[in-house]
Amino acid sequence: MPATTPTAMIDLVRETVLPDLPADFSAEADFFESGLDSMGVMQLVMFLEERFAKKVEPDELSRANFRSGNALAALVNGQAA
Amino acid sequence: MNPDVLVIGGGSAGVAAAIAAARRGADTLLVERHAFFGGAGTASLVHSFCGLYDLPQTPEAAPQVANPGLPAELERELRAQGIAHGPLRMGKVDVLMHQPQRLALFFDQWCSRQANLKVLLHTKVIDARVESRHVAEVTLHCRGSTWKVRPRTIVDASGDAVLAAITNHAWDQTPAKELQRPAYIVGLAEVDAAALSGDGPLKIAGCLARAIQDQKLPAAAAGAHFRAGTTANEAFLTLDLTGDSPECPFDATDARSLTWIEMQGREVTFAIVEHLRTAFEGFSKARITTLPLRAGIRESRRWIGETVLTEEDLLESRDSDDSVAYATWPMELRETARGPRLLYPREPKACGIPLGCLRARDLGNVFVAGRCLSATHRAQASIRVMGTAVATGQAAGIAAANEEQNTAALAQHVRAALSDLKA
Repeated sequence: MPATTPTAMIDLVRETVLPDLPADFSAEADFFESGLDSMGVMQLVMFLEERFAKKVEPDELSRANFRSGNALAALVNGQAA
Repeated sequence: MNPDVLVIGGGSAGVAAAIAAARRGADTLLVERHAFFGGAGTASLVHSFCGLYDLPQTPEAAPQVANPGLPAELERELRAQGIAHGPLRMGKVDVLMHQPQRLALFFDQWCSRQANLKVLLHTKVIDARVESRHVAEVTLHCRGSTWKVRPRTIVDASGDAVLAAITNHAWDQTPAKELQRPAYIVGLAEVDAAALSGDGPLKIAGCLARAIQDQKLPAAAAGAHFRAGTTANEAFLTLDLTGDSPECPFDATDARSLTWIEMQGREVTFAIVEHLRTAFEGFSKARITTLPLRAGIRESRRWIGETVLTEEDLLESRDSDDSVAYATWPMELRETARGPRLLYPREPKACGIPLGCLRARDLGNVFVAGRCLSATHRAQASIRVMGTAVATGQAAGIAAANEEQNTAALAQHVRAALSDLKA
């Protein structure tokens, strides 16, 4: 699977969890400040596996890895912190 | 036994309405269908008051109670007695966390101390007679016994606009697929505090997502959310449910729907805790110690009042000469069981709720408070919360204690009374 992009991740979050994310939401902007919570993360974990074949491991579950488009793209592309 | 004011429903709105009416000298009767007062905040284990505080103007601004009188008194007393702690800032809003069991006792004592107020638990309204645009008589019911009362004025704080349904007054209910979803909340003991701090809640969410994908837990477990309680190693598990059953779509006034929600709520919360006991560190000894008396219902029937509060009123933070309570909570949409969607006003300012929203359109002696007041589906998503319910209850109670008159004149009396309370 080709590497994903921060934009694709922001689109996923907007489509599945936070419908009110503005169009110009930046790759570094914080999803949690825009209302992402643990229920939203649960949704994202399931969608990442379904659509991006990314199985999120327990030690990858952190605010740092889910906080922004950049962070999520890095997680999916296997470059997480 | 003919009270001046009859209050139907002993939730946050009903208790406030009853105390406010009694304090204005009205001989008041408060009836509650279940075993204690507090409604969602006790019976459904909703463990925080939302809507008590103004929207912060800046991230650093100290929380201010939005409404004078009973909301301020309640906030002060709950904190002073250690029943609540906070306020806590959650994102852009402030909430007061409380212990549901102790809140039930607090409401008992608040009501007992109040002169002119009589309370009856285990009592519900089952019938009413309307004469010339007034409710003339109400039939009460307790365990097979019925009796009639002839109150001068009535406040419907039933949550489900029970009196509107009984009297065939105009009411509205959103189509099933858009209704705010119900929540089933349980209390837990022996949860390691560390499991709910830092990234803990996200790790729990990931653990549950894995179990759902592996079909070890039902899909409904995706509505789960944990929060630490106010005492050590206690926690609450809130499970948002769709409420739709194989038999019928969600409707909180349909016994089949309620039966499904209560039973599914228990089944799924117990399954979640059982799973986490073996799969998640910090939950090995966790157990459910408190079940709710009933699932938490966010929305059902809404009265049609003289005025209907709208989404645009809230977005614009509108205020008028008839405002008798202030709504400060964002419109918290829960139309799915997958978490909230929050709509904030354009400026961080309260929205005035006109007295016309608290007055039945076609019944001169009926006022309304709490989540069934006259508002659109979207506006109800803001005003339903408990802090705002205390404020609308107080306003309805003051209005109900007055002589009947037109709403504009009555609103001025209520505003003058609230202004005195502020002083």
